[in-house]
Amino acid sequence: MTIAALALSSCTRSIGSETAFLKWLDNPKNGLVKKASANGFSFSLKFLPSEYLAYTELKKGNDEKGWNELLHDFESSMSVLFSIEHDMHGIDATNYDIQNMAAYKERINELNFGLKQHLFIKGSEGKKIRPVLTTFENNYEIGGKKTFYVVFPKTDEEQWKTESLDIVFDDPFLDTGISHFAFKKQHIDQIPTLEFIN
Amino acid sequence: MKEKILFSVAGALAIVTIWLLFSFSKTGGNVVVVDSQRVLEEYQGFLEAKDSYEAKVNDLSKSFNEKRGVFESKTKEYEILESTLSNAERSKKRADLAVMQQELMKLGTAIEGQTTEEESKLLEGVYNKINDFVQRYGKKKGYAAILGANGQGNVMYVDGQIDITQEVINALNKEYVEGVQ
Repeated sequence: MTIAALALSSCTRSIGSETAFLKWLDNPKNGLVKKASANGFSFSLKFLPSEYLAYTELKKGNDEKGWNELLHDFESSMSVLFSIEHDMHGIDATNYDIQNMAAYKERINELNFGLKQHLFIKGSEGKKIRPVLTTFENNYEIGGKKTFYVVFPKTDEEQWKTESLDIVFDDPFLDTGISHFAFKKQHIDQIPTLEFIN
Repeated sequence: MKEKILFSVAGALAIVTIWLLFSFSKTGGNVVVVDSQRVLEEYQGFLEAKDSYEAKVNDLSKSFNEKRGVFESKTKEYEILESTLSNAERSKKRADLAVMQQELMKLGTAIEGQTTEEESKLLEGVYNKINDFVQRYGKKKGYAAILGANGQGNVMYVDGQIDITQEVINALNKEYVEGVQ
């Protein structure tokens, strides 16, 4: 009985609709959303499965590549969505501790181009694997939540075979110190099959 | 005089603590105590930030020491050659060395300022993380208050049963690795 239950729980499930999949992805129990908080700020790091990214790209229809090619492209890197939000209205990552226009411009510049220096995968022997791409998504949004699309390279093969993948944010702007977002390989391996793709 | 002030401050703190303990005991939840210094020293986030700070300070010191080494060898070279130089050459060399020394002093002051700033930034980040955690932890456990004993006399005695220091350190380090649950 126990063996059967274990076997069932370790099987990868399948999901029939995009809405159901997004709901599943956002459920912290499934281990693909990691959170940290300090100084009124909440951070969230969401793992984005390559299969889903290939699907959304294919759906846009503006790429000549086929499904296999797109999937291969996304599987050769790792993408995450990094969000920062403050619990007080009017405070966000772009204006916290900013005194004047020059400092504001510098912050925007840092968030657009400098995040790579502060967000990294903790590799073996203290190696820091930095993103190859960070895109500040909500630059013009009125709301306080700021989101970044981040892509890490899969250059260090050994790193991807370990039990967990530790992404670190060493915060230089918001006085929140160091935050770790550790994804377990077991959770990544259990991402359900996306039936709605076919 | 100094002793009198210290005794008055300690006395006032003791009265405030007793009042806090008394008033919180009426609210139903427990009042517990943590050794805040121990929490800081055993917090993984602090240890990691300290390592990163020390690496930065070492890098800065290395660049300063390299420049100082160049200045010292130039000074030595001048001392050896001084007797063979003309008056004009001597004053030019001396002026060059004075500029170098001034630049070195400026760099030293800048490095000192930078390390002080880095240190206070490090501590602010760490304290913010601990405070955020302790507030959520207190709420989750239903404590009426969590007092921080820091060896300055604000909490003079703690019964082992209300000392939750180790419990807080364990939970804080777990969250540091695994994230907010």
